[in-house]
Amino acid sequence: MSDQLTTTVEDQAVAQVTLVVPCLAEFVGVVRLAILGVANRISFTYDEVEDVRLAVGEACTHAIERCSEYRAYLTDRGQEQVEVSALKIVCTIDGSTLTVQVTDTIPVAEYVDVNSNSSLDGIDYQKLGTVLMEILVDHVGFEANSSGTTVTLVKTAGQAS
Amino acid sequence: MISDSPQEKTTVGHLPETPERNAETLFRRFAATRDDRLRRQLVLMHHNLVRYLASKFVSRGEPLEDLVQVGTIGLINAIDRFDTERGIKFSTYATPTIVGEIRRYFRDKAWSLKVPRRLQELNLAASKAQEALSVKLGRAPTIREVAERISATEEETLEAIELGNAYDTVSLDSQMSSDSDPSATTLGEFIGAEDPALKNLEAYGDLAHAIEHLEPRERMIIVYRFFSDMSQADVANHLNISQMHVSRLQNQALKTLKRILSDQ
Repeated sequence: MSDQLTTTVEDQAVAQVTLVVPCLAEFVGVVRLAILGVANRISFTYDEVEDVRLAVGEACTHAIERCSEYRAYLTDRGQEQVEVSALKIVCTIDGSTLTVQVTDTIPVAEYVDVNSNSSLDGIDYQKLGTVLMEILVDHVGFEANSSGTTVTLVKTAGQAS
Repeated sequence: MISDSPQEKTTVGHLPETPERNAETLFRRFAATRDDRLRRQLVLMHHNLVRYLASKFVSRGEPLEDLVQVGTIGLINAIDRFDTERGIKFSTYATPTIVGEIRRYFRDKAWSLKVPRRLQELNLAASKAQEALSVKLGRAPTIREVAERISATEEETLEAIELGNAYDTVSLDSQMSSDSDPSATTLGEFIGAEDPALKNLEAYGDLAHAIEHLEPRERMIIVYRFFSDMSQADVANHLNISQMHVSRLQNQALKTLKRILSDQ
């Protein structure tokens, strides 16, 4: 798509949208809906918008699964149950590039994701989620530390990924 | 195939058959033999992977079965090309191929009507421009304004906006319901058709014109017989003539009408 046809972002500076939801499966839909609105600010094609939504959905699902594993892990050790942790989604629109960061609050230092290889039918769904994200957007980054994990997804309009 | 590591010799048959181990064995055998039955077995074995990946794309409005079908093509390609020696898991290897096939399907086929790529892009630009202009102007923009904004002619713009409807077609049998009438009606029932009575109206006009050319008595017979549905005997009584005479005059009048109407 030529620059000439890009109409919505020409007079906009960098814009940021932040969304915080409970780390629960039923809120993935809320996030997907919000992403639709944000992604529409950029000249994405219909399929590109859907790709971003799917990738963000995967990132959230990943965090939520780890969150429930973490709660189970704490219960096993007889530790106090954590409150439902929050999932923070930060969307940054910069020209025709959308960056979405999904951050959870599960401490990595304390709890290492030992179960990531577990699956019923020989399929490692968490690994697949990562592969899926890498297919759908232009760049995927992971950053984990003691305060949580951040998945960064970057997609630019009009780039085949 | 001669293997050089002792581990591999024990692989076949001796280790517990986990799904993964089983798949690996099959892949090795398939790589060596290219046996069609092994291939089929591998496809069935990994069908869950396709279903899982396809299910991620259902929200885009295509039936899951169709997505599974195109995804399976990707799976078959992946099975044919998979090389066990590279040391990566098959699911990791196959996922990009399967997803690629599904995405290609959306890109190329999912438009229910085939639309030129240039117009698809123009459609996108037009809808963005409409939105942006609505905000800027505080009202819905005119076609001319949208056209100016996207540097296209008005005609192209209209075409581009119109074709947005082509992405998704709707079944004539799809259910429509309204608050006042919860009983299901289908979309097809709302579609208008040409009223055949309209054509009759035209024919009536021609006929009225033709009747005026008849003799007064012939005209009366035609009107009584065909517009008042009277029998020949009734008409005969009415006009004080014999029924035979009515019949003759009627035939004569009809012949005249036919001639006039066919001349027109």
